Amino acid sequence: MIGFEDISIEYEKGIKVIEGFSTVIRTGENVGLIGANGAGKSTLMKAMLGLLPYSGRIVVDDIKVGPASTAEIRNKLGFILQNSDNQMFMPTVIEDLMFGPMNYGMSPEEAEKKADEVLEKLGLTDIKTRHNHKISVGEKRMAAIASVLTMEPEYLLMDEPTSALDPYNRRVVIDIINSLDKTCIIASHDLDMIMDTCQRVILLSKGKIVYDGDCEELMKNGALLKAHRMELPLRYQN
Amino acid sequence: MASIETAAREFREMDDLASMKSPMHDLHPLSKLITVIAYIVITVSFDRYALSGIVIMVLFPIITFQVAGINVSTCFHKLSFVLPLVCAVGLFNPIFDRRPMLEIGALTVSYGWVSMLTLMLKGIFCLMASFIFVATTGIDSICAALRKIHAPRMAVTLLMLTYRYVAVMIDEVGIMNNAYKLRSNNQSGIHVSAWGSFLGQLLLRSMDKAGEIYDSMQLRGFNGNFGFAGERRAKAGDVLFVLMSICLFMACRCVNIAEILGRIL
Repeated sequence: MIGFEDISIEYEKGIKVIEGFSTVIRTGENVGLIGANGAGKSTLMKAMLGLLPYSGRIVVDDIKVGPASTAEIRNKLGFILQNSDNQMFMPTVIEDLMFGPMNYGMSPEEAEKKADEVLEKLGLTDIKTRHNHKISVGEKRMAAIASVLTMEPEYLLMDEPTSALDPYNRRVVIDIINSLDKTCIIASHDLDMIMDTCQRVILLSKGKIVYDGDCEELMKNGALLKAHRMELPLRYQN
Repeated sequence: MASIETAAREFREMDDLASMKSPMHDLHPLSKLITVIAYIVITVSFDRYALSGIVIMVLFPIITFQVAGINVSTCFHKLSFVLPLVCAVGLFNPIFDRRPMLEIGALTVSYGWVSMLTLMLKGIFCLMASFIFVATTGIDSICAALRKIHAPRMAVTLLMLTYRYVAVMIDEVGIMNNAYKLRSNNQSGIHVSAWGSFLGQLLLRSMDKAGEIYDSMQLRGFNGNFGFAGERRAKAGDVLFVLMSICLFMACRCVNIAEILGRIL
């Protein structure tokens, strides 16, 4: 369970990017975080990971997110960045997958075994020894997901997981998300993907929650979406 | 643009070289680090006129390049930026030190020429040894080895991040250069009036990107330690390599093998 109590985040003094954000994300549910550019989606995720200071209280399974608990929190939360280039910094895919587990004390043999399992699960065995700068954007996105899954996080945070992907790879990512037995929080503008993966959705506007509830219901509410610089999902557009 | 892409590719090829398989690659990083440090110290310690003595030191880089399966020309190609600087170190010696050292027929060789050549060889050999170390070890293992000999954590982390960020910066230069060229009406290069903003933007963009990479590393447990580089125990072969190499270096330092060979022949 992840609890947010009156979260406020400001980059510059007096300018709040997130304001009064309170909600609870229950274990096992997939939650979509949507909103226009600058609504605060990525900021909120960074605060959850202890990358940004915040006021209020974020609790992940009874552990308060703060400087004292970063290692524990980051072991529980896996974060998939919007730009996979920034996530895949080791020379090869396998080295990237082993990076996290080995930092947490796993032996190279165990880490490689774990990485092999994840690669096989995601159908990425072919690119195991490939160099990161030589694989395609789609493969890199999948490898980035794999690199986080090898750490066996309990919660998965994804920032625009389908951006820059072709339709085939987009579908692959959706299938991967749906096959995971994890709590996922997905920030995206791809509302069709959110509909395919999440039961619940939170609409952020100027750092505040304007809707928190059933995904299907919001996605049919064209007026509310439009009022917050969003559009109906493609499937509901004429 | 092609040159920027080439630079990025060549930079990344160092990682490719490090992931090759050879007995040299299999050696423990720490044993290679100690050997290369010993080699550099001993090579630099040669007298500045010991040209005949230092020549024999070429054997270590040549043999290790062969064992690693890496072409020596790769080293010179990749270090073509630095080599002229290394060679320029003793450039003025022939002018300042004109005392005659030996005469070959009508040609008088001065101390200055000999010291210049000795300095050049010292520099080239040390570069070759450092290159083979980096090319067969990989930056992460090098950093892990440095931490093993208690090099300051901050300095080692900076070394690793700098290495990673150089690649990031080259990529950013490529992207910005492309964007500039597409709107510069076939102008060659970047106009001097745009240098300031280009460099400023490059710095800001690189910092942003580098920040994201660092975040990503932290999120996967990176805390300045190099556990991810693999904790391999040194084997007897690693120790033997260090001991034998240092003994050979010392022998080359103390005995002028080239001179002895010359006398025999």
